[in-house]
Amino acid sequence: MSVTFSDLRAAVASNVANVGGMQLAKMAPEYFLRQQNTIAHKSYTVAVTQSNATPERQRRAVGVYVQTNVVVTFAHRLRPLDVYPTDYDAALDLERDVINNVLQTYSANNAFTIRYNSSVRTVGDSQEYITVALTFTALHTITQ
Amino acid sequence: MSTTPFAPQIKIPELLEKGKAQTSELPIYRDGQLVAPTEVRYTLYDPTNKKLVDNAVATYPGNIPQYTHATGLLNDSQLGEGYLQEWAVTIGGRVYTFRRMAAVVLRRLYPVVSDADLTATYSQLADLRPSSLTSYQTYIDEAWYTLMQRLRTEGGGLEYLVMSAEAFRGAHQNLALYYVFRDFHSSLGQSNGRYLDLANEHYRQYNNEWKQINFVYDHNHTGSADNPDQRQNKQPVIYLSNPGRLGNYRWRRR
Repeated sequence: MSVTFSDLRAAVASNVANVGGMQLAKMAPEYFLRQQNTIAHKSYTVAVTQSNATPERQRRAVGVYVQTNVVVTFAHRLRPLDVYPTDYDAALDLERDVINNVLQTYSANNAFTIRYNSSVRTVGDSQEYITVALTFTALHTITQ
Repeated sequence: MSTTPFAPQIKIPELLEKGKAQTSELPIYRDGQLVAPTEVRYTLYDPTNKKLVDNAVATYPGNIPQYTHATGLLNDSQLGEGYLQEWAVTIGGRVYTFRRMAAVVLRRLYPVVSDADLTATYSQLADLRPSSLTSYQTYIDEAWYTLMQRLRTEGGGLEYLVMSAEAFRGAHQNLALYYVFRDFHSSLGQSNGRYLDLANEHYRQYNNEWKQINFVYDHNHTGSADNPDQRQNKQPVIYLSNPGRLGNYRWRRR
């Protein structure tokens, strides 16, 4: 079954949205950090960053079997008087929820498989937000 | 005699309303904790040094000295300043006497700023509220006491004679926001940042608002405005010089 790149992005985004309070950012993924402060809390973006063909025959009838990197980035507010550990821990717990929900993509749609690779957590100088970038790898087939 | 400098919490003079039963309190602190008294006596002097309450036994529930004035106690007392509360508190077997100025008034002045007034201007502020607080009331209260104290120290008037409570709204709101954002900034340990910018901005606005305060006033303690149509400036402008000579010269030429 074919899954386009946009299908993949939408499926992942839909599952992230199932985590309480998460809202899709209006900024392109590369400019996620420009999200307004007032609505940045629990906003997220899903980037389909890179795809590579797997060693297959790529028969036209079957399509191209590809491996695509998906990066989910979200922000979590750090309240000034609760930066650490209260809100820092809350962000880590949210990260776990997001990972679990993204991995449920596979059970909901047999068209592709997805697995979690890594997390990068960053607190900016202002200490107003922590941003977490989660990298996943999806295996799917695209056809004409 | 012990000279331990116990600190009674006195923010502004106590206001005693005529014709009302009311309770005065005097929490006393040392080393960050409420001091536990073993006996409390209360005396209230009027401006002529006459004792309206003479060494009465006071209670101290939760270690806070407390005295309830009877409804009719102040019926014959003159309105205004000059009253004195004297609390003789026994701490560790010694008697310490704490004084607090008081005034007999017709009505107290109440603040008009609440938590909703702060979050109304900063939608994000509700989300930034520390987990240990359910509102920004502590900042609002501290700002209010600061305003009332400043009003008195600058000779701007007596708060209980101000009829128009809304006159302090702008200054109160900005000073409370200044305290909130300054605390945010202080907690983050930064030398600059958005919270410091906001704190400074609100401090400037507070000072501007403070200069512009004017209100309807009750000079005569009658309970009604002297002139409802004429608001009085908090700080009257006093000119210590003659009118400029240039104006006279130009007038003569015509």
